[in-house]
Amino acid sequence: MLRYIARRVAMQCAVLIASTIIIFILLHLAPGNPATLLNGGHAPSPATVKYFNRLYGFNRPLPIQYLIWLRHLLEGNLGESIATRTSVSSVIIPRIGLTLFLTVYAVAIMVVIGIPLGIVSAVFRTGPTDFFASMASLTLTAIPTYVTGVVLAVAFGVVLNWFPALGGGDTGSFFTRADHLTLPAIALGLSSMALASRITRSAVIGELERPHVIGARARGFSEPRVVAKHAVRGAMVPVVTIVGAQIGYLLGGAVVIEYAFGLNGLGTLLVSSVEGKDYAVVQAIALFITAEFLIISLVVDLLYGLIDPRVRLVGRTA
Amino acid sequence: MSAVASEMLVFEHESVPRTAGGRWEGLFQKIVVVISAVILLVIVCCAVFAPWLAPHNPNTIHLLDPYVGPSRGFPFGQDSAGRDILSRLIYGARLSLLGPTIVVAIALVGGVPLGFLAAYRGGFTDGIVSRLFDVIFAFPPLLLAVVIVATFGASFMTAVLAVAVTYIPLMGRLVRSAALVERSKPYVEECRLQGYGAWRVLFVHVVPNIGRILISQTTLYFAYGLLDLSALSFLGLGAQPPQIDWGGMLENANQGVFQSASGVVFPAVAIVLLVVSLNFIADWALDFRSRRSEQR
Repeated sequence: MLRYIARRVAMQCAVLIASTIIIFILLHLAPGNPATLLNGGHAPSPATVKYFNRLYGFNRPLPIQYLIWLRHLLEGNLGESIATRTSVSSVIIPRIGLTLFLTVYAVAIMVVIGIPLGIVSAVFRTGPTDFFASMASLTLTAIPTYVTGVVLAVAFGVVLNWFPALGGGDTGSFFTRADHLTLPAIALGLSSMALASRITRSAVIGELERPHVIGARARGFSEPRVVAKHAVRGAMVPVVTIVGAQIGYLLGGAVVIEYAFGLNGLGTLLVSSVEGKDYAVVQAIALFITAEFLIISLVVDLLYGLIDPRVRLVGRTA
Repeated sequence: MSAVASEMLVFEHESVPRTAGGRWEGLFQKIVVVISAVILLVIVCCAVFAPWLAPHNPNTIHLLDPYVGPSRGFPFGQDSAGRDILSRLIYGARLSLLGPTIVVAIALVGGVPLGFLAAYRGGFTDGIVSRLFDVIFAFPPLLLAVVIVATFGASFMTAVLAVAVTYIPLMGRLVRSAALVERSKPYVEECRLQGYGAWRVLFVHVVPNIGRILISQTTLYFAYGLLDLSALSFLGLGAQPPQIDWGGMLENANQGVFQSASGVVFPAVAIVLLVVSLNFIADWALDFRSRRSEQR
């Protein structure tokens, strides 16, 4: 197991470095030069050019520039926001909480509701209902988050007035925040929940017909035990895959949902920074979200190793 | 649902024995697919014949009538600037279909050869191609597109190219794994023994065998391409006015959602209808071919 973990960690580190290279290179692919881009698309004055050259070494070879940039990154120096004239980290850090809260909330909806729903519908499947349930989940998975968001905001926020329709409850306690973020989290997590339950259902159905489950039944174990200990465990690999992939989708989708509900998270900042050509902030947020995603992928990979010991052996004998 | 996740639907079809539904169920599925096809056809017709179908000029502004609900002259109501929502929907179908079409075309042209190359050559080539894909998968979907738009400036084409970049590895990985399965089958070996060249084996023998998955996935990627592009437009990072697409209409209407719901409802319904129809068609395409092969 230790070797498996070490290999996965090394892989993710390599991918992380590669992704920093991509974000770095994009800066240099932009029309004009990087100094212009960092200056909000305006031609920089000679003094600014000099400042950037001293800071980022734009007058030096590209690989050296990358290393300088990487060193700044590791030191936590993400550059300066043009919009606020303050350091990028001071702009970003206050907004991380809301985005994390929203994403974790949506992931919880997907996992805590979606997976049990899938297991239950696999166990109690009957002809026509089964067919309609599958149709319904196919429809639900196809509805984009921002449409769900707008519909929920109007229905529950304005017409029924159960939840606040706008704002993130930034200053309030945990419960004020949860209250404000319930609608956005449902909007974000709903289609992922439908998908998770669909995949769980089909994985459990597939597992219920396998010999080891029939064997467990034949040995006289009670049905709940057969389902919980034998069928569900075997079905977990595809479920973990889908949950991992959907978390990546939720991280990207949170940007859209924050924008739709007017929440002060990283997503709205990302959009306004793209519009305001505040490139240093865009870079920093992209790196942050990507790093988050890579850590989650790593956890998913490690979970594979726990669920299915065969996974650990892949590549060892080759 | 994300495009990454759509691969799971293939998994579902491969692994789960479908409940042997009665005739009734098969009939119902046929009806659903026919309705989906009709919806798709209507939307395509709207896009093609927009100038003849639209009752008004989609960009004519009536500043005195913002957020007016449905009326006789404007059956779907008017938006924030008093423009006719129906006409904008009809014209919006053009970019809303064109965008995903380009995305899918680029994904096919880039992803299919790369996927085959990786599967066929294996070893070092496979390693390089797969790692390249991994790097793009490292970014959450949509995020990379947003960063690319940030670099090159917001426009319809930038958004399309930015989304297409994220679909090439999806297509590539799919083709690679499907081709790997085929490669180990006896008929490929047989073809090689006959002395056929790699590309001939590929296009004449392997492609027809993975066609079912390829067609259904391409349909799904079209749907998710539409969702991604609409999301970018919704964020104001896609098509810019006076260009019209459904995501942009949604964004425009969302800001005045408390004045009038019709501006939000109609583009939302259009997007959902199109995506759901494509989903049902993709689902049926997977089923259809597997049923045929069973009959043989």
